[in-house]
Amino acid sequence: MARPGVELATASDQEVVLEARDGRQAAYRELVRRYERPIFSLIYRMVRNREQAEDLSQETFVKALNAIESYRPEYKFSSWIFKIANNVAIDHLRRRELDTLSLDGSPHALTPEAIQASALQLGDRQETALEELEAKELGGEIERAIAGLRPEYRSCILLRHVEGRPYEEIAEMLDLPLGTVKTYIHRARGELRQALAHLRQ
Amino acid sequence: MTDPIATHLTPDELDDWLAGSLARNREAHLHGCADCRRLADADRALAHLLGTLPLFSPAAGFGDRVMARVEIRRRARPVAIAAALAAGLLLPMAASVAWSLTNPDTLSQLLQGAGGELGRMGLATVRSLGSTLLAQPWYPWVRGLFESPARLGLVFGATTVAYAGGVMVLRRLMALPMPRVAHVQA
Repeated sequence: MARPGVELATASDQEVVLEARDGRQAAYRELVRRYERPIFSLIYRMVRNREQAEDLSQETFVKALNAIESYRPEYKFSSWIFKIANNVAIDHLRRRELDTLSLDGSPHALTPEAIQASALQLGDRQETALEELEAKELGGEIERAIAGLRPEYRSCILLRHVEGRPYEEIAEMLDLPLGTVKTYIHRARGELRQALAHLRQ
Repeated sequence: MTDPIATHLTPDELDDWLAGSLARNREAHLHGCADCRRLADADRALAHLLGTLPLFSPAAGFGDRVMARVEIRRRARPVAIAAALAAGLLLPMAASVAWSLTNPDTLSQLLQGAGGELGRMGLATVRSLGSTLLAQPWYPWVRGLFESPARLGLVFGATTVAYAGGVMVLRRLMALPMPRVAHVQA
């Protein structure tokens, strides 16, 4: 039974989590509604593929909501779920690095058909609707400059300047020392300044 | 000592400037140093650009796809747990009372038989424990304590202090580390 008078849309994250722990489905949906865009945006900018970003965002929410009992209310819910999202994105990028496509096909492909399917076909690929959308959303100068950053720098700069999180919270989310977070952000800003210098001239 | 005006702004100081909390003497350097001003302006423009990046939305129906994979568990409420415990204790007690009231003769026989046997066993146990205690080498010392109130008080005080100290040490060891996250409103 729900706590009397808890209006989910205006309740704090902690209150909504308590309702979710009581088995109230609407509370789960409220948490998804609040964080789907920030979480999806972070992961999308990390992996730069819409389909993969959707899958990874789903994975983030499923992990968080299935483990809602283990969430400790003394920490911010947003920090907790962003931590899960960042870990999911970084793990995916590491797996993707190991599975880099080559012109001759994936090193993991076992049959001639699989090799051909995984090889880059130069010149005969037509952009899909999804790829067109990705190019439109992430094709701008600043987005391409962000894509050029190392994943660690990218997540720090996005959490700092797009999500507006304080340094201490980012350090907590990413399990990094505060000094390391500051260094990553300063270096990321330096690289972005250089990448975008031609725009200022 | 290094002239605070002459040295360029560090990355941390650029952060402070962006946050509007740069020290006054360092503001003075910023006003007079073209390089630092150029860096600060570039950082400010970059922070603004990043801060205005749009949020993207996943495809329609995202929430439904998530909910299809989430297991919603209902946590047992404290009241329900307490009610279950109370029922677990009260029901057997009530059943026992009901049986006793409906079978007084049987109960009486049981108590007499069991009570007598239990009493004999209890007495034998106390006698055995007593003779074992008297045979212990430290028994005269303990008895001496009770004969001297001052010594008894001293031992009691020392035991209390040692106990309290042990509890404090244990609490310290079991205390969780404070989280490093600055307190921010949700």
